[in-house]
Amino acid sequence: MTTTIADYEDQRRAFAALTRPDCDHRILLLHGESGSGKTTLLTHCQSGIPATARHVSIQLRGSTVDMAEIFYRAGRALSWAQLQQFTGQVAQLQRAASVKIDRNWLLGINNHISVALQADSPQDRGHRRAALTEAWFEDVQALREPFLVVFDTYEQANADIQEWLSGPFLARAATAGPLRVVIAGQCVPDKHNIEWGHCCHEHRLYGVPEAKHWLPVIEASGRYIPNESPLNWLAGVCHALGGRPAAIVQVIAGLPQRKDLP
Amino acid sequence: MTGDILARLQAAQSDAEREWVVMEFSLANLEPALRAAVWAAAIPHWFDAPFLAALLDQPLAAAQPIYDRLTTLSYVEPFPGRGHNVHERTRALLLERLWRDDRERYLALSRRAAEYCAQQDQEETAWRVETIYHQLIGDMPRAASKFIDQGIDWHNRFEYEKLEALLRPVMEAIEAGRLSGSVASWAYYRQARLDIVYSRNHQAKNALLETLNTGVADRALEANCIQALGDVHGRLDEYAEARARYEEAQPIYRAIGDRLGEANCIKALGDVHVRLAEYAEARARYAEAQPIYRAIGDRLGEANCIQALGDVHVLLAEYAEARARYAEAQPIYRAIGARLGEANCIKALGDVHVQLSEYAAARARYEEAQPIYRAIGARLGEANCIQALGDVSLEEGDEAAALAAYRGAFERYMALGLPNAAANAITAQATVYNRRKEYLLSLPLYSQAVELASDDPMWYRNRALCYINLKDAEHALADLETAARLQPDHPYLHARRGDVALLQGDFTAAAGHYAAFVEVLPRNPVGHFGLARALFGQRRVDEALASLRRSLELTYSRQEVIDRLDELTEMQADHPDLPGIEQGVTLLRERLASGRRTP
Repeated sequence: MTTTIADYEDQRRAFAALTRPDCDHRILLLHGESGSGKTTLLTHCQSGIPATARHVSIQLRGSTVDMAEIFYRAGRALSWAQLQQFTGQVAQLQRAASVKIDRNWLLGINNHISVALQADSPQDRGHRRAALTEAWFEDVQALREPFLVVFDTYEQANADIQEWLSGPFLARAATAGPLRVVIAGQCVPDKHNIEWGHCCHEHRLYGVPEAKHWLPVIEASGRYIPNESPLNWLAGVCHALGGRPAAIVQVIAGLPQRKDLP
Repeated sequence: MTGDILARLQAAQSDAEREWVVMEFSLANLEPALRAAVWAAAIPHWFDAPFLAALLDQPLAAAQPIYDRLTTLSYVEPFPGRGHNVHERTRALLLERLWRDDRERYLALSRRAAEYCAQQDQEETAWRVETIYHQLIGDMPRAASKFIDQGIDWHNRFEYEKLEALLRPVMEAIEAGRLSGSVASWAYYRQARLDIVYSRNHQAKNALLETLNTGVADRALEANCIQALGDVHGRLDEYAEARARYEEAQPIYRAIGDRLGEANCIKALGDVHVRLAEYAEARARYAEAQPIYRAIGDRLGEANCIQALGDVHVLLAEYAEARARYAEAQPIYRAIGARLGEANCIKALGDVHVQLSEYAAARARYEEAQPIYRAIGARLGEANCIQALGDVSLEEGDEAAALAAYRGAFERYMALGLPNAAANAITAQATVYNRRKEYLLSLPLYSQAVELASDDPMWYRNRALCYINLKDAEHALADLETAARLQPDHPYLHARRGDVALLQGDFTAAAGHYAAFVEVLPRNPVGHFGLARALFGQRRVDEALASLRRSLELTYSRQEVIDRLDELTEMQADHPDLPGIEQGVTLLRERLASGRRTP
């Protein structure tokens, strides 16, 4: 279901461009403070992705998302058959190179990836991570269709994940043609990066202060403004709240329902 | 009501007040049971129907419809894999009000949350963290010790991502004023240790200072914190501060009978002396620490001291003695299975061979160390060997091989997520062009280093030197300004400003900058040589020659003498009217001809 969203036209266009085969800026950064509507924007944009296009959305907040989870979720969004270099590397790191990578083995792939990334020393962990990253990108490079990975709440990812995403991951994404990446958060990787900055667009989300952009949202919510000059009233609210979508939506949710009109 | 909210928003004096107006408006539109649930749901970082039932102390059947309604609110969002959560900003607002207006209810809800979380799978990091967090907030028995022990355990196991997950909510509560005392001390200290792991030195420094601000009651923690602060100052090249911190920590360790801590401080003081080119003092410190390590049976510490003594010998160009020290440390490392130390000794022996221009032998050593690093997964050591092999190739005149090695090292550093080391590998490539005086080819490499590690002032200072070599004072000054903004007191800022002043022909200003450098680093030859050039410019020949002699007394590297000869010869060509430079050039040539490595 497509949600109604206020403005952010430029950002929506940049997102829509990602699924085009000729997209040249394959990394999109959406940067905005808490309550600026990043998650709502992402939800809206993803609801418009064609059903045939493969994509995965990963929330980085909380302690639930580690590197194994990211690989696992991306693998499920594609198919493990398309990630043969990666699954082979997982098996190799488990010292199980002779294992048959069949359906049964793949049933436990999440656990296999976790084990493959496990090491006693940080150095060894880094080595394993690098090997899996290389293998994963070899597979992604060979995809025939675009594959979109969306990361939200980047600021809440742990330091390991942030360093990996802003470094090795995006550096390889810059050269992996089929891959498209969106990273949203209160902070995002620095776009002035020599390895991937050239194929990246960054959009700041400053809020939606114009009252007219909120009218369709009020309409879609089935509510109305019980005031003689609704637009003026709404403009006053938008101005007072600095256009901050989360707060404006909260006010809209408190407006009376149209169905309750006499 | 709607008219009322606009008037209230317009009357509000701050953003925080306006946010609360909206929240009140929103809460007023909810039925009482749902309103109570909003307050309860703000307590945890996520909730589902069973968690909400526990918080409301209601049966699941009663809580389920409330949960369903709750999830339709605009400020409640899905929390992947766990249910839902109150949006971060709204949650912070609700918690602030609840803590201020009804602390008893806050504590009661936190205790319910802690009890519910404790019944979940404690092997799962998220539940473990949430349990400890609520126990802390609920001021429950032994909560603080559980937090402290868990932090130590995860740090010692290198499980940094778990530690970070634990610290994040606890720090949030400390900053909101809801936790303090020993919990705050340990949280800031653990945060600082994490920042050190991830090379976030400025954040680490702030977190350590915050630790001390909490009024640390545990003396061991206080000493560890002060020592760590010394380490961070050292990483930031703030040597006077580093020294002061180690000198502050050492007597605390001694007072509590922690001999290892004491020895570590003494060795760290030795390391500071090395950075300040105070080699005799450094040697004395290492010699003082070594028997303490031996007495407490810490063979690793002992071997590290011996190796450090070897490093000092290298810096003093006492290569035979250096070799002997490394040969002494290596079997100790091997005996205790410290393969990293063993590999470091072998690499250091390679470095000695380089200094003696024994390039084949150096190569053999690096090639011996490299597989050891690889075998133990020490990818950094392996990359360092590759870069060192590049240095050997460069000395042997094989520039292509040197550049290939530097590129290989660069890729490895990048894969390890070490932008500073990667930047170093890039500037090593620039050395190839610097030797040919093709500074235009060096410049983009320095720019890459700046882009890679843009928060490290060193790369701006280095690029400034490249601009100086290109006679571009304007860009050099711009880079020095950025470097000064990032780190105002770094001694090399004086040296580079002196270089720019020389370039601009302002010999008086140059002399002032170099004198400032010499004051901070009196045993570093760079300042004395710069000062000599500035004094030649001012026609103060005797003083200039004295500074030049002092510079040569402190210089042990042949390459440095060659570079200085080039610079002075160039100055002579640019200013043929200046007296005394010829005598300086002769001094440098004599030094090179004598082949003497030590003064």
